[in-house]
Amino acid sequence: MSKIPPDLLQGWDIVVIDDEPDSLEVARYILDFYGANVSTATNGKEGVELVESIKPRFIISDLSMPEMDGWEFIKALKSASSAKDIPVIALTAHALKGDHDRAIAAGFHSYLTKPLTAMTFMDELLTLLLDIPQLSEYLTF
Amino acid sequence: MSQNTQNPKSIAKRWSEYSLQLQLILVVTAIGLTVVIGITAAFVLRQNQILQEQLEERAKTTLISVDAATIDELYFANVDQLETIATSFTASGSILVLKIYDSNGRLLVTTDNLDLEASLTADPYGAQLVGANDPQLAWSSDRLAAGQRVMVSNQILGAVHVELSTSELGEQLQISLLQGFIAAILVSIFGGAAVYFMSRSLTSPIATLVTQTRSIAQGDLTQPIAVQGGSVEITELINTIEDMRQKLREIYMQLEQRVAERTVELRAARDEAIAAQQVATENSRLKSEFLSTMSHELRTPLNAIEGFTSIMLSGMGIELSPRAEDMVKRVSSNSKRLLHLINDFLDLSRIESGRLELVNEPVSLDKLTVKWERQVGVLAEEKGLDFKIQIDPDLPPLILSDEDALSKISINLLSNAFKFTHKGTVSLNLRRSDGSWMIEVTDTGIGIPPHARDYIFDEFRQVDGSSKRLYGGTGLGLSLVQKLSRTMGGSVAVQSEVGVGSTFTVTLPLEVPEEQEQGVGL
Repeated sequence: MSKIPPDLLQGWDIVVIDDEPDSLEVARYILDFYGANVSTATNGKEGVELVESIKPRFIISDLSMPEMDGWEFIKALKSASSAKDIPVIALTAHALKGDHDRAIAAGFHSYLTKPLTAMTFMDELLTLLLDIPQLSEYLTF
Repeated sequence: MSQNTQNPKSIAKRWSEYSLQLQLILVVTAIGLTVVIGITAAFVLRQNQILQEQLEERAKTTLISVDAATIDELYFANVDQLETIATSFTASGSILVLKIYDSNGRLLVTTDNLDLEASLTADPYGAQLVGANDPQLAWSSDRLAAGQRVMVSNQILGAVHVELSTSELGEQLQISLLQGFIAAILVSIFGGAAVYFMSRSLTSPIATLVTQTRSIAQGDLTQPIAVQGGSVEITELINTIEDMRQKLREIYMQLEQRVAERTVELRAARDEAIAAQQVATENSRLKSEFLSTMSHELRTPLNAIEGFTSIMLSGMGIELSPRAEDMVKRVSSNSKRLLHLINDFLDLSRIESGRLELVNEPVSLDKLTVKWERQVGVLAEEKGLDFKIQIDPDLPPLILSDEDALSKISINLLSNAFKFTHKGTVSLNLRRSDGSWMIEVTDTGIGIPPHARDYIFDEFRQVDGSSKRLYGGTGLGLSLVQKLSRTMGGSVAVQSEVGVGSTFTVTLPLEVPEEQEQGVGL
């Protein structure tokens, strides 16, 4: 925890999509703590609109959601030319083995499994960000 | 039959290939011919003998006549008179030649001109005649010669010789042979014809029977055998075959019925099995779906608990009183325990329903142990225990295995070791042994009493109820370790001494990625 500087995400626009308000709040709080401007949506449909207006650096999305779930969301996003290159990280309580591969195949950049502590969430997130060239260049530490 | 004897083997071979009718005709004709020829031959021979005897009798009678006619003239050696007598005898033609010899065997008179020159010379035949007591007979091809000396009261006057024609005899024989030949032909024709018609009554029902039994042989049991039998035996044969056909048909129909019944039963059983299979598949799918949903639904609230407690405990801008911090830690600890239980439970369910899909991918043991150390190292720190990790240098850097499964095994064993160890060391050894490798977790903990070693791998069993309360834990960990090890083709074993410590050894088959394989043996 202490290794990650508190201004890691200073000025980053990040969209988090989750239908669970508590899960949304956990993610929002942690990302906010590290300086990010977090916008949230509670389903894929809202998410697409939000992403198109904000153009965030990356997106964290749940998979199981009402109205438009994560699978439809990634499909819609990938077909929208303006936002199709924005990395999307799946954050889901689906912990079954096949889900990970399915998510990657659907176009998610990576896949994180709930539940996560704040520390592991940031650890994993940092590892992922370092792995995405278009984002790692913003990391200044 | 004579031509048959030329090649007896091939005939014998072919004999059984002939039709019964032909066999009968041949046999009966052959027998008839043999009998006719035999009788004819016997008759001809007998007749010939009789005719010969008759001719010989005639020759002797003629000799007596000639003797009587010539005796006086011979006595006086009156050759002219003798010639006259001889000519008169031969005039009728029944005597071909007449010769008269003197007492010295010299030819005096002959009606055969060719012999004239031999007159006056001593004739051995004449001498023989003169010397012999009895009449001398000699058969030649066309005549019978007979000679006899002429005597008057012990004085030999000479001899007479006549030759009689056998042509009459030959004619008689020819007639007899012709009769025999005709009889043979008639026997052949009539006998053959008789046998032909007789055998037809035998063979024609057999031929019909053959045609009808052929349809039985081809599986058609519905056509009754209807043949007019030519004899009692044939009729009996036909009746027997008809009985056989009816029996066969009965058995066949019973069989068919049984097959039909069985088919219905089998079809029903198959349908049932398919239905059961569908139900099972559906059940399995529902169970799997249920597990998936349960997993999701349990993790979602846990995520909020984990998230908020971790935020509160991570110095992320939330101030807690020491009392509150202690409580939040307890909440966090219980939430972790609950998560652990959920994970183990889901894994066990997946193994038991056969839905655990293991992968076989290259795994770096170095990286993996670092990850494990990160996960459980905190337990060592919390309890002030030593944690040692050793990797056998003989182990290849990459092995083929399932990383998740390996992690579950090791984390479970290590968590247990830390849980039951209060001071000393917990060590993790990865060792190689020929075609397998081991994950070995050794602790200096409380140990496991011998009686408990049998059931510690059972679900929800710890050494006893008290230890459960003392040490917590899900009671699923070792069961999961054992099932995972077995599913991966390996096994788990435990060695322990109460108060000294325990060693859990998981042995797994060693598989190496192909590109690395050559280097492994070195």
